[in-house]
Amino acid sequence: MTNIFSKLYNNKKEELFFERDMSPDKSRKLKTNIGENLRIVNEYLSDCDDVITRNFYMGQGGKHQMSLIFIDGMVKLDTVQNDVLKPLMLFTRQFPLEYSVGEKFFNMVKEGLLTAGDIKEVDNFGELILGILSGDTILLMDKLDKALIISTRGWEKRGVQEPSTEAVIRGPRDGFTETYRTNVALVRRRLKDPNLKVKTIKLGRHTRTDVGIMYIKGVAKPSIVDEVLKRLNTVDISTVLESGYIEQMIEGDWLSPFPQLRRTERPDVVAASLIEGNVAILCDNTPFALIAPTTFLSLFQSPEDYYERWYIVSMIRILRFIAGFFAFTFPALYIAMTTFHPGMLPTDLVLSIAAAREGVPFSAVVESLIMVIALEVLREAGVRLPGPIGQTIGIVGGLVVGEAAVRAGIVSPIMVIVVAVNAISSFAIPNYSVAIGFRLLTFILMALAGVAGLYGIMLGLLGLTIHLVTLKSFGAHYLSPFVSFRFSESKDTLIRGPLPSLEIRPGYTRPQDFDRINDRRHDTIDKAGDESADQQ
Amino acid sequence: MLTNNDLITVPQAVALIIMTVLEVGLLSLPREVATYAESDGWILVIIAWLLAFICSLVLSTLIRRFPGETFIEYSQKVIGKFLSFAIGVVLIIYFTLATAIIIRTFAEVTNAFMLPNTPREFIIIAQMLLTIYLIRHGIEPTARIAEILFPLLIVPIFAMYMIALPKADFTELLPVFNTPIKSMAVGSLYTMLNFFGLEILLILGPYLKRPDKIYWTMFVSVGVIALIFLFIVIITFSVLGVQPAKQFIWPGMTIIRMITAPGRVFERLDALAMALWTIASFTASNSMYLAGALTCFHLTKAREFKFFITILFPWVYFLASLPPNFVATEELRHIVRLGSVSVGIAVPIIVLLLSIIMKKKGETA
Repeated sequence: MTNIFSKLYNNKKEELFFERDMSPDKSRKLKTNIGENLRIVNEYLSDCDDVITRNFYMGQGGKHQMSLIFIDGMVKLDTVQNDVLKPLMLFTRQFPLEYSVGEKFFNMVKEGLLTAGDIKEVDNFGELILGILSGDTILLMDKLDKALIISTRGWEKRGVQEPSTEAVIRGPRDGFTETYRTNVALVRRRLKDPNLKVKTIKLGRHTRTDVGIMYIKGVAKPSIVDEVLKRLNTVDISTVLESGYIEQMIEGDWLSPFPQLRRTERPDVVAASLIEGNVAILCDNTPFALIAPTTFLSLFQSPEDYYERWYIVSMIRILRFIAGFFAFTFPALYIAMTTFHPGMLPTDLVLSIAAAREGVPFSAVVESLIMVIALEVLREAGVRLPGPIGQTIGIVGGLVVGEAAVRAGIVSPIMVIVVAVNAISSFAIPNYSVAIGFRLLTFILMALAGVAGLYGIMLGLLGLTIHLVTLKSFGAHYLSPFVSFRFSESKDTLIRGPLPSLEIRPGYTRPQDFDRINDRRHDTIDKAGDESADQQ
Repeated sequence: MLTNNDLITVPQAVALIIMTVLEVGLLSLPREVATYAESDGWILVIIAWLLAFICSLVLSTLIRRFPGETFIEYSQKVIGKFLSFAIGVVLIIYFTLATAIIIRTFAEVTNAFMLPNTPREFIIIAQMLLTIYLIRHGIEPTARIAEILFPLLIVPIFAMYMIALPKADFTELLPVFNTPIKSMAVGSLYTMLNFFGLEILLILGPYLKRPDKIYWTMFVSVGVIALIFLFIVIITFSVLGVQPAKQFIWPGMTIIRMITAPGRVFERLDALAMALWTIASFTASNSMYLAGALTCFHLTKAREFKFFITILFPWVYFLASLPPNFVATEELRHIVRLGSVSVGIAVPIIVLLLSIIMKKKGETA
């Protein structure tokens, strides 16, 4: 018996050891013998049928072996054939004899022969294998202890499409895609600034996902950049499939219901926040970028806020905050008002509420709970179902919740209104993560209101305020600029002042370069006006 | 000794002082001044303002004289170890008692106006837990909360009183200077007690980011408080009348019960006013509790002050549930206020005078 156990145990240990040994290591250098090198590569990539190895011979007489290794489907075959294989196979034959093999030949191939764009030299298996897995093509040569990584990445990918979660009426229609480089390029196209820096690291032991941080040197505060890098480097995780993994690993307070990084699908949002001194974290395989540090206010902003004129935007922003408030307090207020403080409401309204609630067997708390939970279930069902069925759910849900429940006397019509206002309000919050956080708070506040009425709500709100006031996102106050208030920053908070008046960048990132807009309109416009008047 | 991050900025200090002092006078001040000086009540507020200003000058001078030092530290130099320890103990009792009274009064008012059936203990404990949750975060967050809640409290209060304005009859203020000098003097001294809460500066002094601006800080906060008091007294007198203002326990609350929100959104605003009162009482008890815990911390020279926050919990709860009924609460409140004279005025003046006589100063001053 013990024998079996020890066997099992040993087996497991061996397996683990084996696995660890198999992960390619940078310290394992390439050999001079190509056969040996190919054997090691095959060892690493055994049972990977998508890896293609193409052997051919070069030089006059074709004596020396060369090998191309790449993964089918992750490379652009065009590039491999026209820019790599073709020159190698056709032109090496015409080399003079002294070039037949060795350092000189290697440099000739590297610098004079291959017409592919990006070529890197590599001397170890770690980078080599990673190159293959990332979609590059590897060129191994006989008698050389180094290889070339030729960038031939190209796979089937989704094109740049309109972001579905952050639609705008006015503003650019392009959104991030699942490809890291495309996303970086989308941002770069908006900021043609040499100070826009991109640092890429690889995260995830298995996924080896490209994760890049972008910032503008001279605008972003170096300590924030360092903090982001530091936190990213502490991430030790096996898989990074979406930027959500990174978000959860690097956020400061994971007990908080509020997101401490802003996520966005829009390159213009990333560009705008980079200019305000934020750091953006882009992640391969996901269209969602993260922005740090973030503030409570920024989660209530939409990119359109800066594209439209300021009156409209200011009104919409105020509406959003009212909606935000109702999104988590409305059912609680209903409970408090009807159960504890009916005297507060106008008499007619109290009477009509009482009349409507006459047949309802449950207390206001239970009634609200039933309705809010029903609504959450409907929402969840609607999200998951495919389009055509989703509509059915909408109709069924609307009928069941709205009409039948009232007719059956389970809930009162007023309750339906309350829940509807609550739901619609939460959809008016531009950021989905915050909206979800608010829905969670709805339940807590409902419980508090059920216990102690308006006082319970106040307890909840004060507790929430304490939490928000002490919350920090990468060193920036979450509630800034209301914490350590400065008047100059108040123009872009609850309302948005006219664009020319937003002369400085927000202070929460403590950007090094405060200037945002210099209002020079008066110089130019006045002059131009005078001149044209003179001419007439 | 102190961590540098945990410092209070000037606006935060102003907000903290105002919120601490405001809580007390907000509801009952009109009754008190009406009792002492009838329609001259508003003059009492102005005289009390001057007195409170002098008192704040003393506190400020002490803080300037010993920058970065705690009260316990410099009072040891001036009046000796034993006396300073005794004063420290008195301070702790005073601050905890003040916290208890604020919370207890809040519970009483809530029971009277908002939640008649909710047990008082529930309200007291809930309020205390909230306070502890906040001040465990440190000194600066406590001040930050005051800064954030300040406009949320002041603006609605102004709005509510403004709604009552059409009912105002300013002739109620009319017989001016009708009060004998003696009751005027006694009255203004009592009115000054409404400024109690300023003495938290005695403890929070070393935690100010800009101790050089302490005079300005004090001047602004005392001024704003006095203006708000003046506003409330004048509106209450002119809306309610002087005689009714004497009779109601909380004339401020009576006014709010009288008015209806425009457009009849809310028929009665008292529940809303109670919500605001929650904010006021919460911030006031925060700073008192914090001052109490900090005094313990300074007295014992412990490594961390957060420990004392938890230690004080049962003690404060015991004090808060000590008075058997509302009348006893009001009596205890009166005693605490009288205590504030000794703690907030007498002790600082004595320490300041002695330090001037003995020519003792802080190291960096």
